[in-house]
Amino acid sequence: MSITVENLTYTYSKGLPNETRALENVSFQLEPGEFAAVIGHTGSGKSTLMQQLNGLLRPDSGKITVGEVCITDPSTKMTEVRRKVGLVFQYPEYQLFEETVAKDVAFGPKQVGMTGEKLDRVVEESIRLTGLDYEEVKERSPFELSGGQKRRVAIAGVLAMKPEILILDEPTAGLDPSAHRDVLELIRRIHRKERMTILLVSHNMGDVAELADRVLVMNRGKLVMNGTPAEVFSRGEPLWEMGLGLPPATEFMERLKDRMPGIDTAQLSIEDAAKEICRYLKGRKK
Amino acid sequence: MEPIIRVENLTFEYRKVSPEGPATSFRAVDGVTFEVPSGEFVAVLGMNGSGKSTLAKHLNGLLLPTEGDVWIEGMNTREDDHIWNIRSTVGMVFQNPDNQIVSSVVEDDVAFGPENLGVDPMEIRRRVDEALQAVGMYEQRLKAPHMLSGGQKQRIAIAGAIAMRPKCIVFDEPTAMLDPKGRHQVMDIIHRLHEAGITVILITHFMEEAMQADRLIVMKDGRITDDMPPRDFFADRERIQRARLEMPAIIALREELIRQGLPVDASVQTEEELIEAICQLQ
Repeated sequence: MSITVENLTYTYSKGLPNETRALENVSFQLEPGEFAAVIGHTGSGKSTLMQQLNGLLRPDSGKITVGEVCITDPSTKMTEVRRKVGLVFQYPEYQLFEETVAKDVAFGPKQVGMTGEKLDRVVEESIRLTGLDYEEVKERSPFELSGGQKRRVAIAGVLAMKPEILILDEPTAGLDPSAHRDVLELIRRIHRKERMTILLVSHNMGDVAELADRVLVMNRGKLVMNGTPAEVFSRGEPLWEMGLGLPPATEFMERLKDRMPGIDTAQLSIEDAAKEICRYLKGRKK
Repeated sequence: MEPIIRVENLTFEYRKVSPEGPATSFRAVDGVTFEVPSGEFVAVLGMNGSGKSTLAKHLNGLLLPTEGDVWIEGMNTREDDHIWNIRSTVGMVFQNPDNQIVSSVVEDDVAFGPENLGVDPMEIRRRVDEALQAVGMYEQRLKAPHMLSGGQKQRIAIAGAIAMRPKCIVFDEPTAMLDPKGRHQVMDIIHRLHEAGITVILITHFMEEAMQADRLIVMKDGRITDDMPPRDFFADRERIQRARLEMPAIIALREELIRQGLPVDASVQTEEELIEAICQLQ
């Protein structure tokens, strides 16, 4: 499902002394099945934008169209919007509350009237999709699980709503390296299998470079860059000025460039960085 | 000299009371022993649930051991008489700044700790100003904390800890919720505090941060599995895998270069060293 955002503007505390322009004329378009990452410093407007996309906030002006439906139109039913656009908040494990994993995941679909075998099947599929062992966890209390497992249960709860667009706000924050890898793998799997359109909000430039087809950069409420990871991360200077950074491989290449002029710094992975260094050295020897 | 932190055979069990059946317990820390000499910078790594945070909460008496003892400058955390001394010796900074800020004005928040210790008002003023300058937030002293960014809030939380004039600060994943710039700034402050002689315990999931410490403690299932300089730990691929951690990016790159046939020395660990090693091959 596609997303079209046109001239979106939103102000917090309008008319009050602490009035803040959170979004200013933001426009972009995502194709069905595209994987986009949104980066930006704290307060750049990323989270406000995400809340607009699933109808938690309404813009002052501008328009959001999801598939065929204009979700900023006052006559659009918000329940429909929220079913189409699944939002995984930061630290979603804090929102787990049921006695068992299966009940927790079933909560959302039950609210929209799903019952019986269909419900059971959706719950099982969603839990399996997150890489958890369904038989092993279904009857357990979500609170007994590890941090990474809890987060996967919370994501399963959103997947069970069968959204067509999935928004993940900092899904790996606070996870240990192994749980971090598991969650990245799970996101990649969802994208591949379910062909969902995905929007990933992240401070981890390495993750962004690894997963996204497209990077949107927010700064002070404006969308300031919109391109492939290679395009965006080739602009180290402005990104640093915005308080952002580069993926570790790109950053290293940027530092290396001072001593090896002409080396191609546009390397997003460790493997590609190593290849480029080898290529450069071989060229020198000839 | 008495080490600032001495932990002996520390075991901590969380008790779980369930409506049906008897109470069960979970051993979060299991027979841990170590010492930290004054002025050291120690990083603690380990998976979620390995007992790092539970251990940290013992270092200023927020939790008391089920078995074993914790001494801070020779004071046992079990003794009620010492608890205020212990808490002003060891400060804590947690992951989420929003849970640590209590006032609606930045400088009041920083003053909260010393006020509760009954410090003289003139002295409080001095300490608050110093602490805010130390974290680069003096200009924002009259602002409302909720108007600040995550990184700025975390710096306020650190200023609150500094205003207590602690000899040691325990940071429990202080950068987990911050953007890249906020992370850099918080790490810079941690280094400066360490250089000023404060003992630093840094719990983190970022290998790059752990690399910057003098010493690395790795926890798994409530026990210490490794205790050595980070250089030694990250030189040992098997150890890293056993702890289910990962290589810092620079070391991963070094390994990849070696794998692709470049004769880079396997002892290279920092960015500067790796750049130097690569340039020598030109």
